[in-house]
Amino acid sequence: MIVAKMADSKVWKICIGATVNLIEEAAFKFTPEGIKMRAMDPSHIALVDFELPADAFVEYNVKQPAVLGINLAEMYKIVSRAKAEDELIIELDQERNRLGLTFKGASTRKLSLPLIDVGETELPEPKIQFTATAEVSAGVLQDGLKDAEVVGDNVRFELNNNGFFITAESDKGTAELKLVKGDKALIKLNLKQPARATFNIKYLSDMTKAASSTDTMIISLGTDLPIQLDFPVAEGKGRLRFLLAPRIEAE
Amino acid sequence: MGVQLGDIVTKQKVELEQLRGQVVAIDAMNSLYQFLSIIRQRDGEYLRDSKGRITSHLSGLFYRTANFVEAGIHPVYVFDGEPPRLKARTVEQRRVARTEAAEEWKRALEEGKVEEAKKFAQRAGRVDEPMIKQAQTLLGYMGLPWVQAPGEGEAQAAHLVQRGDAWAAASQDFDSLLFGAPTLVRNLAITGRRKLPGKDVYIMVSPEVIELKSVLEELGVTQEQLVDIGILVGTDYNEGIKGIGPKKALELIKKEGSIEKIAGTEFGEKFEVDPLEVREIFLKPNVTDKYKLKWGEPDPDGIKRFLCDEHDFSESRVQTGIDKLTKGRAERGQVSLKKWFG
Repeated sequence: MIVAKMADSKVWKICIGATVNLIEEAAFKFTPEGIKMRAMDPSHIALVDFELPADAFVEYNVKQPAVLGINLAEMYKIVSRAKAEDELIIELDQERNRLGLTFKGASTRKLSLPLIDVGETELPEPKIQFTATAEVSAGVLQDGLKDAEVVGDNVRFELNNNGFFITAESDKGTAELKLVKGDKALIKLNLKQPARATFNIKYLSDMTKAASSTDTMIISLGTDLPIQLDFPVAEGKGRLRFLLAPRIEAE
Repeated sequence: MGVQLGDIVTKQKVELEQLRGQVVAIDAMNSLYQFLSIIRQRDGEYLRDSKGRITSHLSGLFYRTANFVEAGIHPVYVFDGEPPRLKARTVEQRRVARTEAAEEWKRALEEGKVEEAKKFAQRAGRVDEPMIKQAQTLLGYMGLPWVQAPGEGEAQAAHLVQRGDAWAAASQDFDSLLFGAPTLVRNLAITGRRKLPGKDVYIMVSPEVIELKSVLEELGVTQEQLVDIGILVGTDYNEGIKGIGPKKALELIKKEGSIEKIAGTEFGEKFEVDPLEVREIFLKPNVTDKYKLKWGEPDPDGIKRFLCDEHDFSESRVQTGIDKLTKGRAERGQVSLKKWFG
C-alpha cells in the first residue's frame, strides 16, 4: 500500500516542474522512510536529486518499498491542475497500475496516470569538492538568468570576497548581475576559496523557473566544477537538488 | 576483417547522446571502407561526381561525421601508416577477394540481378591513396584533427586512448582491444536507422561500448592472453587455427596458459607464422607520441568549394551538414557529469 498526503501540493509541483524539462521519465522510489528520485538527463549534463522524508508528510503510509516509473510530462500536466493551498494525496492503485493524485480544497478532485516501466539503475552520488556557497533570492537569480539569455547561450557564475556575480558575453552584447555583501538578496556567503565556472543558460533556467520568486536557493560552486542548486523543500526536511556540469573551454 | 571476438565480448548499447563531450579516436581506413561499401546507389554503383570520380567515401565522411559532431562528440581520425610485414598476405587476400567480387558484380548486373549485384559491389570496395588524401583535405575544411599513424591506425587510436587524449577508440573491429584500447566503441559511423543487407528490413543501430577491463575480468584472462586468443582465432597477421573459434580459443588459453604452451601441443604445427611475432605486433605496437589534436572552426566556403564545386554535392544538403558542424562546435566545452562519479 502506498498513500502519501501533503498539506500543500506546492512541493510536488516544484519538484516535477523543475525536472520535467530535463528528464522524460523518472523512477520514484517509495520506501517506509520517504520518497526518493535521482536521475540524469540523457546527455548526462544535469542531475536531479529529490528526497522527501516520511515526516514531511501529514500522512505517510508505505509498507513495502516500490519503484514507480512516471512520465514526467504527464505528471506535470496533472500537478498543474492543483490550486494553491490544495492538499495533495498520492496513492498507488496497484490493481490498475496507476498513480492517483487527489487535490483537496474547496472540492475533492482526483486524477490518475498510468505507471511505466523504467530501468532501476541506481545512480551514485557524485563527489564534488565545492569551495564556495551562497544563499540567494530565487527571483534575483531568475532575473539574472533571463538577462543573460538575451545576449548568449552561456553564463559565468562567480563567488568571491565581494559577493555573487553572473556575467554573459557574446557578439550580441553583455549582461551582468551583481549581488554584493550587504545586498538583501544575498542572504549568506561562505567562501573557502573564490570560485567561478561557466554553464549553459538553458539548463539553469529550466532548473530554476519552477521556484517562486520569494524562495531562496543555495548555490555551491568550485572553479570549473559542476554547480549545485539546492531548493528549500518542506522546511529543510526534504531535498531538491540540481547538479549541472560546467563548460570548459579547451584550447 | 580483423579478429572475430564478438561472441565472447560483452557489449553495452548506448545512445549517441551519452557520448557527448567525449573525444573519440576513429580508425579512418575502417570508416572509409565502411562508407565505400554501404553508401551506394540502388544498383550497387558508387556515388560519383560529374567527372566519374567516386564520392561515396566523402559523402559518408561528411554527413556521418557531421551527425556525431552535432551530438557533441569530438572525433579525431587516425590514418594507417606502414602495415606490419605479416599483413602482406591479408592485403593480398583482400585484393583477390575484391577482384573476384568486382567480376561477380559485373556478371550480376548483366543478368539484371540487382540485389545480388549490390552484395558483390559492397565487397569490391577499395580505399585508394587519392581517397585518403581527399578525406584528409575534407577533414581540414571541417576543422577536425587527424593523426597519421606510423603503423596500424587501430594501434595508434588505442595509444591515444591509453594516453588519455581520447576517451575511446572507434572501429568495427575488435583489434583495438588487442592493441590495448581501454574503451572501444562500435557502430558509431552507422548509428541510426539502417537497412539490413540483402533484405528489405530496417533496424535501429546504436553505438556499443566495450570496456577492456571488464572484458578481461569477465573472461578471467590477462591482456597477453586476450591477444593469444586472438592469434588462435586469427588476426590480420595470421590465419588462426582451423576449427578454433573464440569460445574454443578461450578454453584453450585458460587451460594451457599461453600460446607458447599451446605451440607444444597438437596445435603447435598448425601455426603458419610465428605466433610470437604476431603477439609483438599487438603488445609492442608501432605508435607515436608525435601528434597534435586541435579542433578548429569549420570553413563553410572551403567545404562548399570542395564538395559542391569540385565533386557536385547538393548545396542545400551540404549546408545542413555545415550547420550541424557549427552547432556542435558551439557546444564544445560542455562537460559531462560522469567525470565526477567516483
